[in-house]
Amino acid sequence: MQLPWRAAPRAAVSSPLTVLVAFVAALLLSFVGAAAVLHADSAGSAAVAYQAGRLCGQTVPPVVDGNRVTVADANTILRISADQGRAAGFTTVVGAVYSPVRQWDFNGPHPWSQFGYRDGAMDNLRVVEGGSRDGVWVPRSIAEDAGIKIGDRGLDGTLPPVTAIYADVSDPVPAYWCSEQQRIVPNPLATEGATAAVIWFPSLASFTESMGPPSGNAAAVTVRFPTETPKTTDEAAALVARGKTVVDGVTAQLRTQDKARLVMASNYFAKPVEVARSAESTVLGAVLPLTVISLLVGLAGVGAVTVQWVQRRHAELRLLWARGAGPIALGWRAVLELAAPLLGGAAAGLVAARLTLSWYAPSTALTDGTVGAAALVATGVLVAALLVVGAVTAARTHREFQAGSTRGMSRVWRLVPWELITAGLAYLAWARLDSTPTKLQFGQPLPQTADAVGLAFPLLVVLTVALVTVRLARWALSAGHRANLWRVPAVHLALRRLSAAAGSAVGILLVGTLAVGTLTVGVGVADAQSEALDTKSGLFVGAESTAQIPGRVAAAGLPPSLAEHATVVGVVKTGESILLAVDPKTFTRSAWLGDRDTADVDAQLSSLTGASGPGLRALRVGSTPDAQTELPRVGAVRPVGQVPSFPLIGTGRGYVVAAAALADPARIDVWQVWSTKPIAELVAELDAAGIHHLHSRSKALALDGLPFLTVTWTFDFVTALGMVLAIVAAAALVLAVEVRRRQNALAGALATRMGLRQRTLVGSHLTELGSLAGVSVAAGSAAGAACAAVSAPMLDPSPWLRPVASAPDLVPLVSTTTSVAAAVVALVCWSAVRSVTTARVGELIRG
Amino acid sequence: MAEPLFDEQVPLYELRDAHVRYRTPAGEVSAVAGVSFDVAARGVTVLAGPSGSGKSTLLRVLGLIDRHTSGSVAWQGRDIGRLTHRARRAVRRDRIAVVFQAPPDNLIGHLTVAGNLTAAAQSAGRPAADPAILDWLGIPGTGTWRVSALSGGQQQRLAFGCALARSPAVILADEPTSQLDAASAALVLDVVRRLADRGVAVVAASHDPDLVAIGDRVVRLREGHIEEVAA
Repeated sequence: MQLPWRAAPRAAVSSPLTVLVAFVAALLLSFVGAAAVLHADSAGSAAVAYQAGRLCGQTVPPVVDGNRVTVADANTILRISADQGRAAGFTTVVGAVYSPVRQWDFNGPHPWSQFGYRDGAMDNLRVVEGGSRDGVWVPRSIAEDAGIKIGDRGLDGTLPPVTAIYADVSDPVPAYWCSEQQRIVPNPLATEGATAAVIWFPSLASFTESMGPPSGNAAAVTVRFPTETPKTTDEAAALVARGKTVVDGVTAQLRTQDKARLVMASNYFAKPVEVARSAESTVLGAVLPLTVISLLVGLAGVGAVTVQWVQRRHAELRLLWARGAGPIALGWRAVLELAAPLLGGAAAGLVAARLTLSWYAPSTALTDGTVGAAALVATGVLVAALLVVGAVTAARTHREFQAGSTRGMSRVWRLVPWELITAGLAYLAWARLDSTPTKLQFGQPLPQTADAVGLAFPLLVVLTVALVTVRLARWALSAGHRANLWRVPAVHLALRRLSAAAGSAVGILLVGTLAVGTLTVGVGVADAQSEALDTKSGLFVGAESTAQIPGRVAAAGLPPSLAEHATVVGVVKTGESILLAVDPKTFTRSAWLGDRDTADVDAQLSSLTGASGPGLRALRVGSTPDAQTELPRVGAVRPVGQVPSFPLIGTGRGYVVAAAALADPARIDVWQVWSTKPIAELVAELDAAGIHHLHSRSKALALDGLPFLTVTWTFDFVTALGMVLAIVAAAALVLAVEVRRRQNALAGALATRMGLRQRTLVGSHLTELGSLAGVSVAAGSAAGAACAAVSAPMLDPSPWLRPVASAPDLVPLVSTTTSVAAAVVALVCWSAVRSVTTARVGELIRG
Repeated sequence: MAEPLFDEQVPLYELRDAHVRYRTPAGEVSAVAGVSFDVAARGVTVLAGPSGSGKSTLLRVLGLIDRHTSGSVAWQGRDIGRLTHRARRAVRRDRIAVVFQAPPDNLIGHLTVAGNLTAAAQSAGRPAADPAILDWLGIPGTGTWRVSALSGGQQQRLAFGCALARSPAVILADEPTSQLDAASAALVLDVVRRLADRGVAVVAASHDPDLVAIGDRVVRLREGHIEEVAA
């Protein structure tokens, strides 16, 4: 290899700015490519975590359940399941066996109860009296109702003695009990004898000995295989595969004994794994178009850096060419010089994508091999960047030295109506969105409309707007050559400078508009879906957490500790409407009101407590008829006001009345406590206050949010890409000024010596840079906001649950974008003016 | 068998009614308008004339850098208008050395003085340049220097040294003294003369009377036409 090529890597240090820009360009390129891969995989992990979080942890691995079996069969099932589980790598197996619910004799009293044994049960109960593990443990509720004391022996003294009384397990149950909740937490609304609290035996052997004959063939058995919750789709798939081994093994072994019909062995997490994989591929498909666009922008940036490099090395390239080197050899020369910064940038981009995963991705858990795949993408991007460097150099040197023309394909590229092409694609995407009914398919994480094509619609519109902006700007700048605005010298100078560097100006406009547009549409759609999920969940549940409580507690009022954050609401559901009986004084501070003005709601609720006329004063909700009507249990209600929606009722039909105005509160079906506290805290306080409760609900878990989250994750990445593009745009602005720093300094210095005022100089730079940034922000924000407004409702996964997603208030975002753009403009302007004020004209002229 | 690239018995260049036209925003400009002359394989040929006379354009055509628009230009009897890019590069690589007007344009800035000589020799497939060439150029002991440490005149002499290191059949020099002071220009002219004495053909475009004075043949151009060919 000849010396100029061999010395090329060292030659790079002679131009630190080029090295820096090449490094940053490769960093951003590599970051975008690697981040897309990592983000998609992360979405799969997040989907796994979300779905696992909604399930009981013990039902994520396989489960084996059996009903109406003999105790002997239960022992067989437990043994086979444990063997199969351990063979499949489940080190912990928790088996349980339950007697039927009966009024078992306990030395006279016959409380509804059931006996049971579960591995580790006694380690997971809170003892209130006694505690020895050589006898049975009785729940406090049964002990109090039946007068059972420590040392008593049930079933005519055939049972082991009672050695402990424990606090009843209440809803929501701790993780250890979650799969057994239906069996161990009595449901007072169920038929008498259907459910009951459990009296626990200390061992399976003692249970078998004592309960074998009396249980007959009505015992129940459960086997769980608790294990660490999978974090990634691959881990989840592996768990499901192990689960299938267990399920198949248990079924096969029991089949040999003709007992397979006794159990139901299931792998509940198989479907969530499919959904998670679907979410992963959907997110990848959805972010792919913008990722590709961003990569193309990045590669164009590398091309621009190369053009700059060709200009810097023009003399050397011409000399080498004159000595017989061809364009390809010269392209190779460029590659050798810029390879090191590009390689460094690509490596840094990959590392940055991995380290900042938590910043842009929904989960930091990655499938094995994902980082390797991201590294491959980063390598591919690096190779593409090197090819661009080589090809651009070869093309430029061929055109300039060999073909003898500086004009070439650029004019042809400019004549292609790119904006019409992208507009056509946007129209096709919109037509698909508009014509496809929004509905969720079973097992799919997204509605049909929210596929890659649908999700690409807003981005195509933003791209179209950016291209139209560029087209108009190019025409304006062409006309700007002839414009005479000397009456406003600052504007005239700015226009001249922009026209003279039209190429870089429209490049900055393109990237800037694309950046602001994607940023706006990303934030708009992502926030719209998040808010829609929050609003729908809030309206669906009514408060952060709710639980049903006895009517006597509602009548007596909540204890002070609960009253601080909770309110009591009576609920009557009829076929057509829902009636809520609320306490106007405490309702607004406890219920979920979203962004509604608390004072307005207070004012409306206060009208319910006014002087009574004929019928109960009520607020009607949504389209409920404005007429007095007769309702079951509460009698006549008379609307005195209207609200578009109301917690729990949503936008459906319903009435809100004051609980205090009810003639007979005892006739209300259900009384609930609504709280602003998380469900765990509410339940803990209810337990502490000795208030029995059931049917607890939490806003956070009320709805399956995965479809919303998948859209949100997609557009969160769009936002991240928008920020990357914004950095590119800002860097391009800085670079555009820096590369003509010398020329700018000389022209400015001479002009100021000829009488140009400092104020005019500053004004001209502010006008030049501000117009680029201003047009980018204005066009990008307008396009992004419009797209978010159009797309958000179309991408709502559950439009039947009101309110439908709508674009959030984007004014704060646009204000922030404008402020940042203004700050960048001010900084670059200061740099440009400083280069003029500190210029030494003599040195500049001499060169 | 490959065609020989150089034959001393044949004129280096034979130009017959050669034209070079450019397209400009103002229309087509004829930079060289039907010139005919030969360039011998030895001696100094000077293309003289005022600015805009077409001498630099003609030099670029002779250097196989630009193409003539019509007429014929032959290199060693072969019409260069018919040569492919690859063939033109081969001729430039093996037989032609070019010295541009600005001294820095002839050297690779990030290499040392010796590095530039080596690079020049390598570019023509020659063995490494003779270290004594620096003495011959009048810049001894500068081999490890950066190019930027040399004066403009020294840089231009080094440029001729690089050309010499390539062992070309012809050195084409475009206004080689125009950016130098008189003393430096004199040293450069001395180098040019001595190169010619070593048997290297030199074609220089210049309006420097001192350079014109050392020419064995002077082709005077005006507005693209040959005004006079003087020996």
